[in-house]
Amino acid sequence: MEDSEFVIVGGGPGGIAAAMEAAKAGVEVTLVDENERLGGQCFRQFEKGFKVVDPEALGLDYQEGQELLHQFGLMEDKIRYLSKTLVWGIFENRTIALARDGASSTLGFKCLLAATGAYDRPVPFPGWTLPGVFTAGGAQKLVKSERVLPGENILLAGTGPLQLVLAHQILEAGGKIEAILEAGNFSRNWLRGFLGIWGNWDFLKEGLRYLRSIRKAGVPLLQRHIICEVHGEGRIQEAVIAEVDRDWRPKPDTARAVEVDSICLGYGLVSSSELTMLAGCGHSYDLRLGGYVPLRSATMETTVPGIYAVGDGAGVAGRKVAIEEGRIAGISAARALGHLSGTDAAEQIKPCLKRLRRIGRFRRVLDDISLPRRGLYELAQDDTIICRCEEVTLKQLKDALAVGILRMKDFKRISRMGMGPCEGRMCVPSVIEMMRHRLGASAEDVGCLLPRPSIKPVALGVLAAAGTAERKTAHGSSRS
Amino acid sequence: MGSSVAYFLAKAGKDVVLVERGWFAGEASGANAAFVWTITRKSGIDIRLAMHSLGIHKQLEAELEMGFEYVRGGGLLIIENETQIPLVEAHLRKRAEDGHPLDLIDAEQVLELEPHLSKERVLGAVYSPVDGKTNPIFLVIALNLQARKLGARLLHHTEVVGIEAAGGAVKGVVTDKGTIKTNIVVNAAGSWASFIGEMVAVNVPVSPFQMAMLVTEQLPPTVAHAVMGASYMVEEDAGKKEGLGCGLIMSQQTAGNLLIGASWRKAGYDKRTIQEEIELIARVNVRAMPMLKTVRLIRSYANFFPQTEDDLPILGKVDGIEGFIMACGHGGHGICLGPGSGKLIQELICDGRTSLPIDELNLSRFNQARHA
Repeated sequence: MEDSEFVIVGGGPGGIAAAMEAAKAGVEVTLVDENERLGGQCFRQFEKGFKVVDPEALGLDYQEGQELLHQFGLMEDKIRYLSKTLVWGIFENRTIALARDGASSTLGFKCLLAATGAYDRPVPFPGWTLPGVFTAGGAQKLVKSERVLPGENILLAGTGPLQLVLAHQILEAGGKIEAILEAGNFSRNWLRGFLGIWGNWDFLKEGLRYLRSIRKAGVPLLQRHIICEVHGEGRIQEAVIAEVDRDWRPKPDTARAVEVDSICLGYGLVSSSELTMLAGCGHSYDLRLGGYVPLRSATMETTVPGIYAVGDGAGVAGRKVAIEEGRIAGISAARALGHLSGTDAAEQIKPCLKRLRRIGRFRRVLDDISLPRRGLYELAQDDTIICRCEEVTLKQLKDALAVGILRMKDFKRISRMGMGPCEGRMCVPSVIEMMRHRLGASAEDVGCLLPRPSIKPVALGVLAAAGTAERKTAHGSSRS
Repeated sequence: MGSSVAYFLAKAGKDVVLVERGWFAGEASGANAAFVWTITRKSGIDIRLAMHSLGIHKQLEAELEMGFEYVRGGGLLIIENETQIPLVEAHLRKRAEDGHPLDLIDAEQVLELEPHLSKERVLGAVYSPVDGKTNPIFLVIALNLQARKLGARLLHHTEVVGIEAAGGAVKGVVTDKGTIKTNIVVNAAGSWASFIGEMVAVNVPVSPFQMAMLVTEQLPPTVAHAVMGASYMVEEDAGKKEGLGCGLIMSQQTAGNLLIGASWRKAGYDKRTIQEEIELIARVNVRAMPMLKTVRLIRSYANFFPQTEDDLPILGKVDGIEGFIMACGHGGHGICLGPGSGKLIQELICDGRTSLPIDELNLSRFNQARHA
């Protein structure tokens, strides 16, 4: 595939904003995205065939997303956009490996932006692998883009105001919610949260509107509550919930069973930083920001020159931050590639920084909300699976610690934890926390599993067909 | 290698310390084809050592408390094209003369044993019922845990920074966490053996040779044998060549993942895999087994095999430095030869002689052991 000056991985808000800024400055931009349609998880567009009748019902994020996507559409001829394209590796010689149209190919770059987003934090507790357990993001995707409800009798649990957004969407789609559990407390986590995420009174209004619709539907809201375990034959039939203390540890004698057929868990997000890790960028661990996140300069550049990172994949902070960071990265890359002078770039970055600072005031609140407390990682029992792909249990972790294992990569070798097709996404975030708590060590001491290509599963036939796509179409680019 | 030596020494009642820069199976022993394989071993000491080691694997299976998924499921060296035939025939002849014959089977028999292989890619195969596969990581961990139970001290995440010697004999090992007094040091540092050698001014001609492999998602039983393409016979000096090469390697782990490979290139000590070699390995394997087309890759890995010029390990004492013993240079066969070599080194240390003569494997064969 023809090389590009600036390659952006991820078509969410950050990636879109960066692509537009860089293209405006005259940079050759290629935007690579796994999905069929742009927007990422945040601005997820409907599957083709759905027509939006009432955009207001979908919330402000949807409307704002439409605006950004519209802007992007106006610049489409300046940006090479590759949809349904998986990035499976990044290599020393400034290339990334793509899987697209059934064949692997290589894309060279001078500058690269990782705008890879985040995913729902998985939390292991007894029964969490039963059908009927959804992540909030997974449930949202179902409801929002496929108009399918996760179940008939739904229980929501987690922390922060995003739960309200999901609840609102479920109710709008005609679903029944048994209750909404907030692990922290409402005033702190929801009202301040709305401000924190969006930093904007419109959104507080929006949040209050959600709250009203939830109240109207008669859905109980329980603060300082979590789901401790779930039971069922073949599918969830009941969830055991309990009141928790400040560390999210269940209080004695508060546990009770609730009959539900599905639960949606929203305990914050984990950054998808495997691309920057594979690229050899320096990372540090911050649970508040979503785990291992790349170290960055003020221009969003990582420790590897020419590789930038923005948005939730570089520290979970929501879409407003992603957009501003994306703009800064796009402008900085344009500057680095010689399309903008230093003064022009600084001038253009200034308003973005100003807006970022404004959001930053609330950022601290959001960080505080999304920080999962220790109690959450103490729910697993000996036979609870902590790595789903390889069916590794908590007992195996305890045994490994008993023989003197101190690091995650060593635990991996003895147990196969993290060696399955999810490539560690589902287990690493919680195993880090479990290990460091049990060992009294820092996350850096425990370490993590370094990704190796392919960073996401790719069919061998696609790899074997490397180079054939270029032969099929004379021009590697295509616009959808 | 170090784990085997430590285990057998601890079992013999010796006071053993295993110094390991990383953790169990951190380097080549944790990233290989998982073969316990003798088919391509040459006549002479090469096959004698391999056969001896096969027996030790069996013995360990009974002795070690932790299982390591050793399966003697048989090995197949696939003849993929006509040019390979004379080489394979010559190999079989020499092996038979040496008293270690191998069976040649035709394409039909091969496809009966491995029905997913492509008819177009198989002319026949060399079959060995005693070969098989293991879980090399578990094997190393099992050896370590048992060694520790028997009193060995395991110093993980500890790096050797020097060796103390005086009067032509070793006196101790200096690590980043302190010094250990000893009069016997075994150099089992694999691809890093030359650095340990330098600490006592001994030239150890072992160099890293990178091999990369792919791991697929878990599958139901698909490949029963340890499978290798005979291109390895043609390219037996592959590691010394420039550029990228690849030969067919397949083994299925007990968990269901296929390990497929393998490519080789000179990459110094760089463990990262590159796009070209990943795609090449996929191409070679999909060609040999078309059903792999839809099977997903989940990970690739590379490691360095400690290569010697004659493709044989270096085992035994070092002239001129008392107490310095070599157990390195096993190339791509460390897992197969490790347990056997470990046992022999233990015999050398405890009894002064070995049940299998290993004089041919002494460092002195390179005739340049000491720096001027």
